[in-house]
Amino acid sequence: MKQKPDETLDQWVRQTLSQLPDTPPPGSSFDPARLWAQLHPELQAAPVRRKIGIVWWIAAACLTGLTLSWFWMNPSPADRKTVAVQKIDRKEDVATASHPTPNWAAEVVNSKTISTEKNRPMVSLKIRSRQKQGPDQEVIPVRSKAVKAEPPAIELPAVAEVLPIIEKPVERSKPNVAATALKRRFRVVHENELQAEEEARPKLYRTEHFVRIGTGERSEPAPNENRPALRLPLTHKPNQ
Amino acid sequence: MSQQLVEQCQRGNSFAQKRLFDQYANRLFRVSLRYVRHEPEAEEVLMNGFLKAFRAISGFAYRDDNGLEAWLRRIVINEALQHLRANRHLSLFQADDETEAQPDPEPLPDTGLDAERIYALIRELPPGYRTVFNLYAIEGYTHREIAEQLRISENTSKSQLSKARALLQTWLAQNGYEAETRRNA
Repeated sequence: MKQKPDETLDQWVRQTLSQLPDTPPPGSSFDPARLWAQLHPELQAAPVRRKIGIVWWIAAACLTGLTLSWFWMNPSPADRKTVAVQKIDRKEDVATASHPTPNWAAEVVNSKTISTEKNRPMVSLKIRSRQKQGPDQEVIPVRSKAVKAEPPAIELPAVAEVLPIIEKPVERSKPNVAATALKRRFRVVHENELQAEEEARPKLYRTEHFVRIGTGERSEPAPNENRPALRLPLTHKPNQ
Repeated sequence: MSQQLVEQCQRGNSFAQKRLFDQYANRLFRVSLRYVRHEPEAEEVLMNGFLKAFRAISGFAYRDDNGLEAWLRRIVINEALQHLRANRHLSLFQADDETEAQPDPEPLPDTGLDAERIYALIRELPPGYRTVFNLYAIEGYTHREIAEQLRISENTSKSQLSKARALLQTWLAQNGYEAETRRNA
């Protein structure tokens, strides 16, 4: 097959150019060493940029995790409920006479149940003892009775303190009651003191019967100045 | 030899990269200068081409030296075409009449070598002619491939090639190459 003249020219140019020496063109200022000096830092910089990018992503992920965990562990002050009322009654005389160590079985703690669960609506009445505690729970109740989370009763102003709940781990070993009592945040009141306060307070009984005076059937209403005043005490026992 | 160089380059060995660069830099600079006329631009094209080659060499399967050179050459050519497109050098495809009316090319360096004279004449072609002639006559691309690469029609590619050949033959005749070319044919 005969080649076209144009293809012949292309082939001739191709063959001629293949004879070119492996040097820059004559009169050229091309310097491979200079170009390599520019190229080498670019080759070194590329992986570093990639590493820096990965480091930034890891740092951002850690920061986000820390922030989320901080919000999870520390709720806002508005979410804290101040429902804890603690009364600790201790029979010191009996305890000190029979046991050389303090008797914790007599402690009555009326407080919010402190546990790992959040937003529990009920408040339980607990008697704390010296039993071993589990790792996950901070207070091990011996007896607990569920009561409504209501404001404390009015008749116990001397012992009632409204404090914010602070989830504080209970100390396991308490060798000295006096020493640990100083560190307590709740007022410790002996049961006898409460009993003495109740006895000192005037006893008020709830009205159980009403007596009607007169028949109640009058043709004419009695004048106001002659009407006897009937006064009934509307009191109730405060602890009922 | 080149296979070991490629393997070392694939591991990121800087010395191997330098040796590979030294081995092909001059040859590929000539390729770049055939597409991009000015030397600073050709150096920029060459540097970007080597950067891409060293970053993509981990996926290159070495067969022989010719395959390695063709791979590097293709990267540099693509980089040169990208440079031409970015700098709108290829917009001269439309100015056919003006380029044909151009005066004689610059005086060639008197090197005494036919290859250098032909190489210098090709560099003197207008950008559109030069690009199509390089791609078709020297690199072996088809008109369809050229049209895709330069985002022109196939007819434009054929027209540019025809005019490039005509202009080159005219210049060759002026430099005393006409008879020799026909005699070789």
